[in-house]
Amino acid sequence: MIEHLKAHFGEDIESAEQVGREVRVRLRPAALVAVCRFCKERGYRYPADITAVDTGSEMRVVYRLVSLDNGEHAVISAGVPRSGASLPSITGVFRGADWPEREVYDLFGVRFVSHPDLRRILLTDDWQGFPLLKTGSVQDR
Amino acid sequence: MGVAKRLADVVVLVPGGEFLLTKIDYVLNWGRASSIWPLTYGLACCAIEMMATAASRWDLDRFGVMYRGTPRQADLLIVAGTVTKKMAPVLRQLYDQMPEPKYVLAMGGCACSGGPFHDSYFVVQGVDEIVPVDIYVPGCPPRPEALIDGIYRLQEKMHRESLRSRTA
Amino acid sequence: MSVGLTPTEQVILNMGPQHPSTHGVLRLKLTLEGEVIVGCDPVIGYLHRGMEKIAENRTYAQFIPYTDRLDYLSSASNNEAFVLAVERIASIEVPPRAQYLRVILLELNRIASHLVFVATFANDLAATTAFLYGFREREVIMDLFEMWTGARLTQSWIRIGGVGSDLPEGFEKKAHEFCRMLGPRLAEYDELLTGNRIFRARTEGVGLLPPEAGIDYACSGPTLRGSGVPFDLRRAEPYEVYSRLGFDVVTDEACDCMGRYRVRMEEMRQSVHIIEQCLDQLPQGEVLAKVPRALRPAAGEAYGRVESPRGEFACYVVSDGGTSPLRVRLRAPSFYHMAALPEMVRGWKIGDVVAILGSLDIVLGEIDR
Repeated sequence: MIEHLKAHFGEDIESAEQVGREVRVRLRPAALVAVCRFCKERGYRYPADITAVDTGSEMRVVYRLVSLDNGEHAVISAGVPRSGASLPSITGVFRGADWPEREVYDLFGVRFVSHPDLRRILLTDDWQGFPLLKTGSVQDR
Repeated sequence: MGVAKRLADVVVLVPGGEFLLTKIDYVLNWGRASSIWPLTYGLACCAIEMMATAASRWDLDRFGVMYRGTPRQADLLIVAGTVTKKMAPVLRQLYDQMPEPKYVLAMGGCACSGGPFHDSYFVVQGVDEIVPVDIYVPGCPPRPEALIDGIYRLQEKMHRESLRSRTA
Repeated sequence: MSVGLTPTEQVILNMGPQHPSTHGVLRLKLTLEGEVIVGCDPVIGYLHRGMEKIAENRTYAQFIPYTDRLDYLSSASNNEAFVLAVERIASIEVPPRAQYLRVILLELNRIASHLVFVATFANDLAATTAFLYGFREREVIMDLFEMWTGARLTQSWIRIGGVGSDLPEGFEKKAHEFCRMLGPRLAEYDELLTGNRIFRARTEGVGLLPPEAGIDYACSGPTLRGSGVPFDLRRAEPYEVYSRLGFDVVTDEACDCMGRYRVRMEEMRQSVHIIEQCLDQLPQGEVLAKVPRALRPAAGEAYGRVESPRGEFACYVVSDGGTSPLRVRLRAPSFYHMAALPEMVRGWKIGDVVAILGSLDIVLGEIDR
């Protein structure tokens, strides 16, 4: 799988390694939709999870696509800046990406371009800020 | 709380019009306490224990407790679970829609004081920040017996009330 | 649009967040054309407690009780997902006896959760007595939990490295009694509910979820298995001792509410079978590995997945080597099922919304976190 990805996407794949049943891929945001579609066509049809991780120094959005045939996870990470981040939406590839992307926007502030309905999902509509970023304190009241 | 015992308490000849007033108080309070109708308002985990308390083993119906779906017909608001900032205005609206006399029972740690979510950005630290609370039932979640105890104390509180001074 | 000579317009009806049948604080903005639903916009977040942020300010052991409060109908599965991820990062081996005990706890939680499902699902469809039946059986399980862990609902008994304590005296006997009792009771439910004409009219053919749509929305558990997809994490990615236990992956081809209901009914019987095997095969030994109280796992990440009664409940834990996790992502199955709801209710009426929503068996605690 790693060979296929590297052959097909070349420079856009920043790194790829196999860790147990996970194929961990780090890629350039521009290639995100194409890589997801590529994976889906090869059996990774179950979009288990989309989330973001803010380590304090850098932030990445993590997509986990699972193959129901061979049980492998394609864990695709795209690095984004911690403010003003934006990524292409993969709702065109997976309908199930709609709500998780809204949640990543709600809690981290990452905008998903061409998402059908990007608005807050958990917090109130008039909430200021993005709580799960490391910048804010826990008690933001 | 037998009727006969209560009757013995109230049947006391008091000069002036007090005698009649006390009897009315007794009847009204007995009526309120024996048919508490809570609003179905389960928010989180405590709701499941509330449901269990209303179910087969710890039947709440035998105390006259009958759950109503609409606040217009309810006189008790059992806040069972965590109140979040998004839910707070809804809670207040429901409380305002309930007709007098109304009571609030805060069930569980979260409703009493925020519970384990004391440092959350989205949790109201106790439902008494929004509505006046009559009874606090602590626990996470409180056992059905604890909830029944809470309702029992609410009934005692109701019995202490009087037309002259109702403390809500 | 117009009906005959009368012009009509769409109405937006608000269902919730306080509603007897929405299974928690859920708000559905339904767009109605007459009585038929043409659009549905679920509004969630009324129970958002900020658990993922709280996780970053607790030690690993301190966060376990918070996981209980997510899917509060089956607390052990939440503990298990978190603990699996942490044990993988920290390379902690769980003793064999503890693994069997965990499975017993998980399966008892599964039965308890499915009993609440049957009770509330039937109650929503106006079979109010079923509520009392379901909770009656569940009380026996609560007794078992209380005997073992001290708590009825949120046990927090699956700890990092094992379980909180060993089985008390008399537990095995009581558990066997329970397993023997449940079969005939489930047959009672079948007699009263499954063949009931009204129940069938309200659930058969209602709320169809085609398998492809189910997979695309990342549905899992009985919701997906009720559409014929044999995806069960206990077989797909076995954890604890599931690979040593014999049980069937229950599916149903119907894709409707009745299919999902039938899957859960049969799963209860399978769980009883699993519990009996565990009680028979239970080895002697420790129930908790030696783990430091303020655990500092190596830097790394892991994704712990379990088959909760609702589907795939997973914890994605990222560690930076400190006593608190850097990030805990809680992946809840009901969140994904809610996303599929608008498609499932389109074309039905409000009474059917109650049936469809009930058949998804959602828990707002895990949707909102």
